[in-house]
Amino acid sequence: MNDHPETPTLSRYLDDELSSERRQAVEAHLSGCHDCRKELELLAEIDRSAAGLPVPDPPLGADESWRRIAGRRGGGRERSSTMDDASGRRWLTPAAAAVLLLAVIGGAAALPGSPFRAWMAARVADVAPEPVSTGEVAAPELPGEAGRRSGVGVAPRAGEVSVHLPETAAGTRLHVRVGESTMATVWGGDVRVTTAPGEVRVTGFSGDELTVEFPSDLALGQVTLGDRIVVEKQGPIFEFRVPRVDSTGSGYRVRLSEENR
Amino acid sequence: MTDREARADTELVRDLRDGSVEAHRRLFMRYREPIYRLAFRLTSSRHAAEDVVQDVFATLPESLDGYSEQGSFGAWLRKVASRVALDGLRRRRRRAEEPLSDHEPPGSDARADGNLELARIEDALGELSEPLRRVFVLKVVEGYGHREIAGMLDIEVGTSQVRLHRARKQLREALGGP
Repeated sequence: MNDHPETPTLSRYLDDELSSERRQAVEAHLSGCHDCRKELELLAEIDRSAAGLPVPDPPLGADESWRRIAGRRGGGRERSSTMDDASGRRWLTPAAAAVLLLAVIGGAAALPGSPFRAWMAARVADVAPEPVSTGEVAAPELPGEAGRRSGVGVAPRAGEVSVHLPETAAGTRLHVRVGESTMATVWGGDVRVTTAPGEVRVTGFSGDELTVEFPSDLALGQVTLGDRIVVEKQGPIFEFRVPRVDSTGSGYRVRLSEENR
Repeated sequence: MTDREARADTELVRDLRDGSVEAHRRLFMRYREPIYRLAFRLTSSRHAAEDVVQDVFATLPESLDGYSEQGSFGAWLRKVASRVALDGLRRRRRRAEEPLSDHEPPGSDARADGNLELARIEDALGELSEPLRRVFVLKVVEGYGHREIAGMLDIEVGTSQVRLHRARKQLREALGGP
C-alpha cells in the first residue's frame, strides 16, 4: 500500500473489521509509516480517554431513587427485606395502594410504642399521619392456646387460605389471630362451614364472635365479607380494611358491618 | 455476567412478572448504576440520566411484556434505557429553545480535575451528531458490539460500523494534532 490509509480504514483496523488481505496491506504500510502509526495510536488513545471520562454521581441516592419509583408505581412504601416477602408482596393498583398507604399510617398511629410504629415512622416521617380507623399491623406474639376449640380446619393451598363470610351479620366481632398449627381454623358459636382446599365458607353463623386463626407462616390469608376483603395476612403482616376494635394480645378484633360488604 | 447472575436475573424477572415488589427492587439495585451511566453518556445531564433511570424502572413491570427472555436481561434493559434516553433527547430537541438548567457542561468533571485533555475529548464528543455519538458511546464507552448496538438502536450492523468510523474521524479532526 503506497497511499496512507484513511481514518475510517484505521478505525476498521482497530476494530478488526478488515478482510485478511486488506489488513495485511494496512500492516505492511504501518510498518514503514511513522505518521500512520502515530495516527492509529491517536485513535486508540481517543477511545481509551473517552471510555475513561468520569460520570458524576446521580442526583439521587439509590434509596431515594427507589422510593420515588415505588411512589410512581403506587406502592409508595419501602420495606426491610425481612418484612417484604418476595413471594407474597405484590404491586397494587394505584387506588388500592393509596388506601393501603393510609391504612399503614393509621395502623402505625394506632399502636403507640410498637416496634412497627417506629419502623413506619422512620419511613413515612414526611407524611402526616391521619386518624384513619383501618391499619396494617404486625402480628403480635401470641400465647399458646390453652382452651378447647371447636370449628373446622383447612389446609392452605399453595400457601394461601381464604375464609369467606357471605352471610355474617352486621355487628359480629371477627377475631383474627395467628397460631402454630399448619391448618387455618375457624370457630365460634353455632357455625356451619363448608371447606375446599385452601377455602372455608362460613354460613349460618349465629354467635357474636367468630375466630379465624391462620398459620403463622401462611403466605397469604384472607377473610372476605361478601365480595370484599376485610382482613388480609401477607407473610407476617396483617392488613385491616375495616375498623379494628382492639388488639387482644392473641390477635385483633374487628367489627363487621353492612358498610364493609 | 456469570451464569449464576443470569439465572438470578431470570428468577427476578419471573418474580417481577408475578408482581413481586422485592424482585423489582432487586433488579433496580442491580442495574441502576449501569443504566444511569449509560443514560448520562447519552444525555450529558445528571438529572436527565436520573429521569431515565426513574422511567425505565417505574415502567419495568409493563415493559417486561416486550422481553422474550431469549437474550440477556441486562442487554435488553440497556436497549430500553437507550430508547428512553433517546426519546428524552428528542423531546428536548423539540423544546430546543428551552435551556437545560441542569445540563452538565461537557468536560465539567474533567476540568474540575484539571485534565484538559479529557475536557477536550468530552467537548469533541458533545459536538458529534446524536446518531454518531450514540454509536460511539455504546461501542467505545459502554463496550457493546456492533450487533448489540444494532439491536439496541434498530439499525443495521453495517450502519453501526459506519457511524463509529465517522465518529472517530470527526473526533480526530476536532482534536487536531499532526
